[in-house]
Amino acid sequence: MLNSFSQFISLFPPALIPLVLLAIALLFIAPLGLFAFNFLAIKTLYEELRKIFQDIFQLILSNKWDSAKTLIWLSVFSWAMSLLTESFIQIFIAFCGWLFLIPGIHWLMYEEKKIKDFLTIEKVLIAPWITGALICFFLFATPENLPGIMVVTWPIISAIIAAPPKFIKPGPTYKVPDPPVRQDLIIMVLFNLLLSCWLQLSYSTQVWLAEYPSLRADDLTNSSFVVQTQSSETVHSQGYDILVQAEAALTESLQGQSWSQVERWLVNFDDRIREFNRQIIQRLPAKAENAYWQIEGRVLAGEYNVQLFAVWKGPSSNNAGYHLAKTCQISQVMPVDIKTAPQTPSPVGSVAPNTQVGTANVSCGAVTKAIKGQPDMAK
Amino acid sequence: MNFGVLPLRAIAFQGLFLLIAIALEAIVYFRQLGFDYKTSVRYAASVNLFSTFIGWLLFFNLQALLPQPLKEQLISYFFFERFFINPWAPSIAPLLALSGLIVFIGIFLLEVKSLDLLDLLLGKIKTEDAVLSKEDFRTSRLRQQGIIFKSNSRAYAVLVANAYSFSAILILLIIRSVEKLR
Repeated sequence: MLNSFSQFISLFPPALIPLVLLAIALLFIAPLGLFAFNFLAIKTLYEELRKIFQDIFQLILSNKWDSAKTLIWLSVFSWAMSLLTESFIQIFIAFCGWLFLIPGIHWLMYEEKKIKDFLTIEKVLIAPWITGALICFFLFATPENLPGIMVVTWPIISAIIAAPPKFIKPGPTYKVPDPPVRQDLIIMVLFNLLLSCWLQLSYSTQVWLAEYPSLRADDLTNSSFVVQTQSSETVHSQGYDILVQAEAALTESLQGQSWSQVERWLVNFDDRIREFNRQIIQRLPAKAENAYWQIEGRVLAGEYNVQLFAVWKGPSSNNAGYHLAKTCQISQVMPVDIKTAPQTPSPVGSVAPNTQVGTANVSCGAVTKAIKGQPDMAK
Repeated sequence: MNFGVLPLRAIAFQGLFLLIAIALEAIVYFRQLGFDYKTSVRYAASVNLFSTFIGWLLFFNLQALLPQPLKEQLISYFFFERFFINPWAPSIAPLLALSGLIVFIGIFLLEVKSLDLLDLLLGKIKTEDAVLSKEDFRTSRLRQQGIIFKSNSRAYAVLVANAYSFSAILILLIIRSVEKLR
């Protein structure tokens, strides 16, 4: 330490050494002096800090035992405890935590003046709806999903929570509220029931869409009931999957076949398409809309172009329905090509007999967008 | 669940129609039943909310019971505002007219009953009974006729109120459909 210091000093010319020492001394002393000078200011700063921390502690910890904060701390405690345990004990302690948390938060919203003012909108305190949401979550939610019943019962449970305070008069004893209050209660409960119905309607919409998923891909702007919050461009109708599977089936039956076999296959093209229809539509996930999808196809002019259609015959935004199309080209691969292109994975045995005519190669284009109307079946 | 499609328009329309119906029916109650303005609005609101709620309950239960082709018509109308061409298509118009009539009569009966129910909940009947018990027998007979007449006029008021609100909503729907055709 001292060694390095003397090394550092020796860097300077000897005449300057006192000056350097003085500078170093000042460098250390100046902040101290400044600190001494600002001691009062720092003291007040500490006092402010202490006040803030005190406020925070007072906000978190209550000096009364019968308060909302006690309940919330109990729930935090049980949550922490439940992390230490396992299996059914953990579930039980977490359950107790919820039992503390829900009344705690409900109480807090009524106890704290600031929170209560914040939650009052147009003279209506929305605290019961927050408690209702917590209760619904506690009753119905599972780690995997949030079931529909949770959302649908939320307004009803909130109305049930909001009503009882009106039935208690300072005493505290039970009493039937005055007619004007009763009238407001009736409207409040009925309005919440209506809200439940609206939520249920959104779930019913989802149920219908689950049975008819291709409706999502259609144009819904005409409806006076629903709006599309998600662009229909991003959604594939089931026709897309059907065409992808049809392509796989076509490739499976033609790829690597000899050219004469391909021609024989194409002679019975309509029967083949009917076969595809049977196989692919049956293999789709079971939904009510499957009956409305149909695969059609035609052989275009030329050597050979096949067009596959997935036709929607169910409800749609225009009269004639719509269809999706995919064009596949079946080309002849000459035996010479196979020899020069060793990456072709066809086994040697199956290629050898067909050396005179060559084998088929299937290559398909992309699925088109939905085209209005039925497909044009002219050859 | 994927909430890419939400029935927000249905909710907006129902809110609008409810507001119109409550306003119109409150005016009728105010004139015919001699309530003060606040009471008539509250009565109209409770009665309309109640009948709407019962209507939703019936709708949710009935749509699950509909035969498949009719359900497809419902879905087609719900999502595309047009009916789907299937064997049930020709019978849709008469069915709609019939169900419209049933809805009108049903809501009328429901609102008459719910007005009574509301009176019961608000304890209005008791005071009338108390007034009645004080009268002697002869005047009470006259009174009774009066009460019968009054309950009739109440049903009449509800009928008129419903006629107004249904007509207003119908006119709005017609305007909307004309707007769409253009």
